[in-house]
Amino acid sequence: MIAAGLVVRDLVVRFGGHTAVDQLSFDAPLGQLTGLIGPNGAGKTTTFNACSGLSARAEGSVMLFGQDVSSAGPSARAQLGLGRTFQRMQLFDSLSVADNVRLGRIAHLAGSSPLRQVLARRSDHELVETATESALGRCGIHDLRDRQVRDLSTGQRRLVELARVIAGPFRLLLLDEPSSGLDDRESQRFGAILMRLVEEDDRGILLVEHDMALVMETCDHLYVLDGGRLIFDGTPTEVQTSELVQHAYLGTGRSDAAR
Amino acid sequence: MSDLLPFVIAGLASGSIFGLAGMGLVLTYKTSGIFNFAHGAVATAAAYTFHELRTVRSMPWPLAGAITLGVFAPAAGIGLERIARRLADASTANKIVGTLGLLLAVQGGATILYGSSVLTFQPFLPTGTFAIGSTQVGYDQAIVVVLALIAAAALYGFFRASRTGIAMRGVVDDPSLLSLSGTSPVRVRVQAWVIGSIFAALSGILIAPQLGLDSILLTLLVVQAFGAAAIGRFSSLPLTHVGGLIIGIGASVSTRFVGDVPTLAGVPSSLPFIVLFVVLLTFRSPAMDERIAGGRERPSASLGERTPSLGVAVVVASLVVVPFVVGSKLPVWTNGLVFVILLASLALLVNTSGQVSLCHAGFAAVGAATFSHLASGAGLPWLVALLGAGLAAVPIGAVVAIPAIRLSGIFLALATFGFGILLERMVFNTSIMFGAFGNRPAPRPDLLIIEGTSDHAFYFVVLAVVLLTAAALWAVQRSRLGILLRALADAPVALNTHGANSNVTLVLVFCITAFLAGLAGALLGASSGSISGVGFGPFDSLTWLVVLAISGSSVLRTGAIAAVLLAIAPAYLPTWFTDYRSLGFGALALAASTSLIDGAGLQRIRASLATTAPRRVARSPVRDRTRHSFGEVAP
Repeated sequence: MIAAGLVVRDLVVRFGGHTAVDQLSFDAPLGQLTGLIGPNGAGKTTTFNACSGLSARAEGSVMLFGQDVSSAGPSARAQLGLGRTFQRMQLFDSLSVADNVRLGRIAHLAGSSPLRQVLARRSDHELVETATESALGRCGIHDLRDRQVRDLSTGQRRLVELARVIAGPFRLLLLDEPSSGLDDRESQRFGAILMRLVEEDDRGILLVEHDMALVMETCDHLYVLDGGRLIFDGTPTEVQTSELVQHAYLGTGRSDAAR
Repeated sequence: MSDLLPFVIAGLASGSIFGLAGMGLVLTYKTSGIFNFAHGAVATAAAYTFHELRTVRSMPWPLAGAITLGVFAPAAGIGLERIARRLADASTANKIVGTLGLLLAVQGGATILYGSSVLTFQPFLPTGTFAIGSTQVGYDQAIVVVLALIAAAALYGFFRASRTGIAMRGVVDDPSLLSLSGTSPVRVRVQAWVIGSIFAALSGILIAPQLGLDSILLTLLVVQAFGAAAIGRFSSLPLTHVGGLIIGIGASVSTRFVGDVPTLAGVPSSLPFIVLFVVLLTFRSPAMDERIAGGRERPSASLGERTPSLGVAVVVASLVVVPFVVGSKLPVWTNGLVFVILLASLALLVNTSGQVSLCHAGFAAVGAATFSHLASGAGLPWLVALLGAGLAAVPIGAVVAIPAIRLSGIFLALATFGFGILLERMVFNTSIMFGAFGNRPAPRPDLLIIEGTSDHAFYFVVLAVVLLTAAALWAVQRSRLGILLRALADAPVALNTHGANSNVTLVLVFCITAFLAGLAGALLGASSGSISGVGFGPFDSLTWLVVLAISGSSVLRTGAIAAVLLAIAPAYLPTWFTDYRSLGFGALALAASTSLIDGAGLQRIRASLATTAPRRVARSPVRDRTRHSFGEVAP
């Protein structure tokens, strides 16, 4: 196993009597874009929450870079290099774009040490500024840096959230529907940003996405969920030609998938 | 066992009243999503109305009761529904401040009309007794228990079976769907508020004979309904009634056991708050989760003060001149300075970090008591004692941070309120704090070079501490912690998923706040020469939060404005104005949070209030970029 990023085995998440995720196993290695697709309610966001330590009800094992983090909290997993964005965006609305992106790095530096939460090391300032500039540049939002985040459009906000997680030293990124609310042109640009992250930084990305064109174009490997269960996994081409998947998710025809 | 029976019966009677109040609270919360902190104030107003009609206007009690329950309570309910409707889209903090403002206004109004002394409230139910076995039971007790049971059963049946009741349940789930089916959600909510207010009014009238007409006690004691509602998970009516009974019996029976132990004397009366605190800490139903998840939204964070400039120099220079200008009012100004620390520290918690605390006065009280112990008891140097006072409050701050980790919005407000009341009831009068007589000496400094005991010298000592504190607060806002706190207010989850443990951030800000409040408590004590629990009660915490809400959204400047409003301006206004203070603050907060006045109007009011006192203190050294702290009011 050269690039073991995120390894999930037998994940089960129950809400009362409802099993939202059932015996799910998958890998999201570094240097690769992995897609997690499925219809609404398939358990994708629940899976993300379980991976990032936000679900108290998760059973099964989550390994991150070879370490068992099944019982670790969200900040501890982030410290190991797991970053994420949210379907319902969690931005710092009262702060500027630049401050939001800075916080991607600052939060990681602050960690859970009271001292580090209050005081920055002398070298931190440069680290934060370099990471912020680079992330703003990659996402092409330099010109927005002094704007208040709450005043931005959805597409711009998605980019800010991506820039914030890129600014942190996170090697594995969980991106939850990052292109929803984006127009076609923005989506294409988004795809290009993601591919560069994987190719140039050797980061790993696990992507939940409804835009099939984006998924088919960018992902190396896909996992298909339905009703909390894994029903298929394979390359985008294999997924497109699988009748099982078409039946469960893509509807009757292939037009959606080939869009 | 048989000697416990009278306690159980008394507990059943008072518990029934808590249950009634609790059910009214749950009903309105469920149907409108607004948690009415002024629920107890409705009960208070009803008790006073009943008193007015029966005693002052000499009506027979059944008529007075009928008017109170049949006219006053429904009118109050209709008014509350209108307020709730305006609060529906407000931020969580605004929802809290809105009903807290109403609470303050009602309590203040009652004090204006009937004075602050306790009036006796003659029992109106028959006071004779009958025997069950060897135990005497009062007719009034039996009537209360049966009445509450009937009311509970009727409400429950109504909720389950009647068309309106079913509509009420529908309005909780999906108001728009309900209106599609031809039932007006507004009408349903009005009905819920009317019923809720009648329950509150009934509980107020029934509990008044036990308590007397004391506006603060009545307002707070019906807050015991919070404990009952917590047991009912803020959603189940029958469980709320049972919760009321548990609390009533628990409190009553515990008086039997703690009667001989002075240190536990506070237990019976604070049992509901212990219950509230523990339930909130340990119990999370999905329903509560959902409310909590929705409770974090917050409109605007302060951007903090700008870099100090010429303006700061002018403010400092003016403050140095103050003692030579204000004459005999100097102690007022000294207290005003201390209040800047007190309120700026609260503002760091509320405005910057998006938390709510209703036990700020508790931190100050711990500081004041510790200061007295260290300076006058142990004879430590003055500055050491002052520092110790701040440090002693830190662990209390850390304890309060625990509910903040689990809860937010109204549940955090409730937990901290409960904690503040617990502290007052159980610890204030013990020897750890103010002692049984409630008074301890607090010296002024006698430093090596300065003899700080005169009013003038002490003013400058306080000024020095305040300037140091202001500089520290300014530095905190600019430090890494400053940006983490603002992030915490906006999206704590994102802070965690990027690697910063937000629990640590929360504990830090509560500890800093508590430390500064502890310092301020010590200075207030030293200023007056002796300290007691007066001025550090839960009602003070509540008033401070409300005044802070109408004072702005930054930290230092908002703290200064609030200090002027609370501590300095009253000394320059006619004495009758002091009586109207609570009413005024409450009404202003209510109006601001329901957007009756917009941001500009509020700023004008703020400015005019600030100019009643010399302007240097209130005017900010920074460019005016005020946004109303709690409100998403249009600029």
